[in-house]
Amino acid sequence: MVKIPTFTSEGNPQKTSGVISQIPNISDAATLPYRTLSKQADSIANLGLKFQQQNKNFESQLYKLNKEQEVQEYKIDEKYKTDVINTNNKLENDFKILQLRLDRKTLLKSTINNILPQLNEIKLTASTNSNTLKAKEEYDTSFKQIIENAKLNIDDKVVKQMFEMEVGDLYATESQQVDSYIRKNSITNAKIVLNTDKEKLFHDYINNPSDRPIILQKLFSLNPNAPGIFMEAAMDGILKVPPQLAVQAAQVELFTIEAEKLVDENPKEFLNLLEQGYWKGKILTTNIPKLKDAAIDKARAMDVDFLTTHMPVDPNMDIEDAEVLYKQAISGDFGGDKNKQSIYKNLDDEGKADFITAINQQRSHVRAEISFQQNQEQRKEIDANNELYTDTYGKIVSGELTVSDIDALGFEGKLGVEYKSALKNLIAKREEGTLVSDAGLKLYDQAFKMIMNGDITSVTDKVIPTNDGPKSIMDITGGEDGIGFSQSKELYSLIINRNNEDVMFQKNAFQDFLNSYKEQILGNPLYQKFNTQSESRFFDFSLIMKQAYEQGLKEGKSPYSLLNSSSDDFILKNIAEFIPSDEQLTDELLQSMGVNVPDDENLPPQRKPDQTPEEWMNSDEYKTWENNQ
Amino acid sequence: MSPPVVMAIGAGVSAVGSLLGGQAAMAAGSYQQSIAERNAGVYENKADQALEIGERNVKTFNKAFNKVLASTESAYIGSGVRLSGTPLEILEHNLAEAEIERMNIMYDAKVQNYDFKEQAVMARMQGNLAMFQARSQRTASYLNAAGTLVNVYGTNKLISTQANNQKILTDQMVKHQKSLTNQINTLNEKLNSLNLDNTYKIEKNFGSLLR
Repeated sequence: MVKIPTFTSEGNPQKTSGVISQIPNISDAATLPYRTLSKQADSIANLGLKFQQQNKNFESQLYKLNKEQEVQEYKIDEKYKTDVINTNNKLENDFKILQLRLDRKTLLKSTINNILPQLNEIKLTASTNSNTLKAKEEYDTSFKQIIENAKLNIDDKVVKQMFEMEVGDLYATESQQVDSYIRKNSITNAKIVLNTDKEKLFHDYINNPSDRPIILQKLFSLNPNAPGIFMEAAMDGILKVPPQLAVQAAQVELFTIEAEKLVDENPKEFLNLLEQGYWKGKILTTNIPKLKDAAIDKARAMDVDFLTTHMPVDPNMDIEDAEVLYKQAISGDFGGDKNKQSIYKNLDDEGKADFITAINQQRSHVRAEISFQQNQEQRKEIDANNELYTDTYGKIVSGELTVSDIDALGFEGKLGVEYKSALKNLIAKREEGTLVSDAGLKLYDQAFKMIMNGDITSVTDKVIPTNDGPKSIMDITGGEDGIGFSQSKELYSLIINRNNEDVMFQKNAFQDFLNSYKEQILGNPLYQKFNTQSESRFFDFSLIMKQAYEQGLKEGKSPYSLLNSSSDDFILKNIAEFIPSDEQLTDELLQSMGVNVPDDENLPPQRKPDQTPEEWMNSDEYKTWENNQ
Repeated sequence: MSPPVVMAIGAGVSAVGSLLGGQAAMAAGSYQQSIAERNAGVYENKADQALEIGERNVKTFNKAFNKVLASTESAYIGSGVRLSGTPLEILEHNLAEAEIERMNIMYDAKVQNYDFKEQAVMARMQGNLAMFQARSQRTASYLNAAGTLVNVYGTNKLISTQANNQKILTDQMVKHQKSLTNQINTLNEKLNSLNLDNTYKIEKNFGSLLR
């Protein structure tokens, strides 16, 4: 059989579609810009962060800096406040301490001032105590008693200690002075006794010629068993030189006195004795020619005086009678008086010339006396003017008189007119306030001390130190800053009496007395420099005391009795009337500062001790007073 | 040369370098794209050739099949088989099988064509990718350059601000110090004045006690 071919597809698709491609990684490329952008953004963000951080840091630092500054400023302010508080606290403490010191010093000063008068008194007592052996012991006892009494009034222990120290110094100074006074007193007393004895024996020798051998023995004996007064003084240690020298000097003194007395009283006898050699070895050879000349001159003068008595000074004599006597004398006739004629003839040429001069002077005297007698009425008138002037001057200074009062006064003559004019000028000065007061205390004290020290011996010595250079007492008398006329007069009196120990002692003791009371009279020392009236008050006090002191001296009382408070004659009987009260001091102080002092009626009521200031100001009395104001 | 200038120059050089790097990446990308384009062309040719090969294989098959078909028909005829019924069905079967065969052949050809086309696409895609990467790098280089400049500017600004701040702080410190000194001096003056006043008060009231 025929095979029928059939076709069957045996092939199968061999291929498979698609090629596996590796997936390309495009994300790197795709993200690269963004990553780059992100990275840069990161950087920028970091930068921004840094900026922010930086800003924060900056703000923080600035804040910190400002805060630190505030803290510093606060600390400085606080420190300043603390410093101010400390400083003010210190000031307050200093004030308290200094106030305490001042109070203590014031108390000390016032206590010392209060005892000064008593100390001065016991010093005066010791210096005038004739019992020189017990004077110092008594002084010491009194000094201790005064100090103990004063200490009783001091409660503050510190002030008490200061007072004891001060008093110790004061005692050292005062005691030294007292010792010196007593020693001087002792020596002075002994010297006075020696001088008194010597003067008495000299007197006896001159006046009792019959007793001269005994007197000479008493005076000049150097025998220790029968000593003369100089030998005794030497044995007591009073003489500064050996007794032989003292005797020699006294002999020369005695015989010189005898010779001078003779020259003075009987010069012709002196000349006779000189011729006889009586004075040889008794008086200094060098003195003889002088004494001889003096005796000759004296004898001549006595003759001339005797002859001049031919024309006596008799105011009641007529001028014509006087002329007759003059002519008798000048001619040498002397009205026939033989004795006078003889004396006249024996005058040498010098004697005759002296006589002519003397008789001419006598003639003038006689004429003047007669003329004076005739003008006596006129003289009385002048005296009346002077008396009126002095009285009026005082009244003008005290403000009692006016210019019209002066015109009404009974001054007479040309002198009276001049006096009136001068007194009117004085009133004008008083009204202008240029009248000099006597309150220049410091200047006066200074001048007083300088006179006492011997630095000033004349009112014209320019040695007083002032702001305008050294000046004399005359220079500082008058003027606003000078001393008054009475002070000047007092200083002058002191100068002319500076060699008079009694006067000097009187004045010195009085000045010590014034100085010892000065502080009390001037008032509280704290106010003195502001108080213009304290010196004036003290001046018034010193004037009153001076008047009382001088009056007492005139009455024969001793400085000791006048200046000693225990004496009945003590011049400061009541010191209270001179010591200003606190109210008076306050008023003076206010017036010195130009503040008007209100009347007592206008003062507010006194605050009671138990009232506070608020209670006081709310009290009925205060409100009533306030309403009245 | 001041530090800011050095920094500015460095920043400039860095930015320019970055920009040039971007340009270089673009050149490289362009080159890679041209190569990929050429490869794509090759793959397209290959795709075309695969179709042509398939069509030629179909023609070859057709010839062979036709021979088979002719022998079949002849056999039928020679055997006196009428070409109806089963013989016809066989013929029809052959023809169907032949068509399947042709379709298989063309399928492979088309598949290969597709693959090559696909490779061409891939090549182009790689070229595009290279260009894309190049563009990205260029963009990144721009951004880098800009970022560098911004950073440098910012850093410079940061430094200058810091310096400025430091100056402000220093000035403030000096101002404070002066203020403190003035305050101390003023208060010291006041204190001294107070001390003087106090000393004067003491001297005025108690002067005599102090000497």
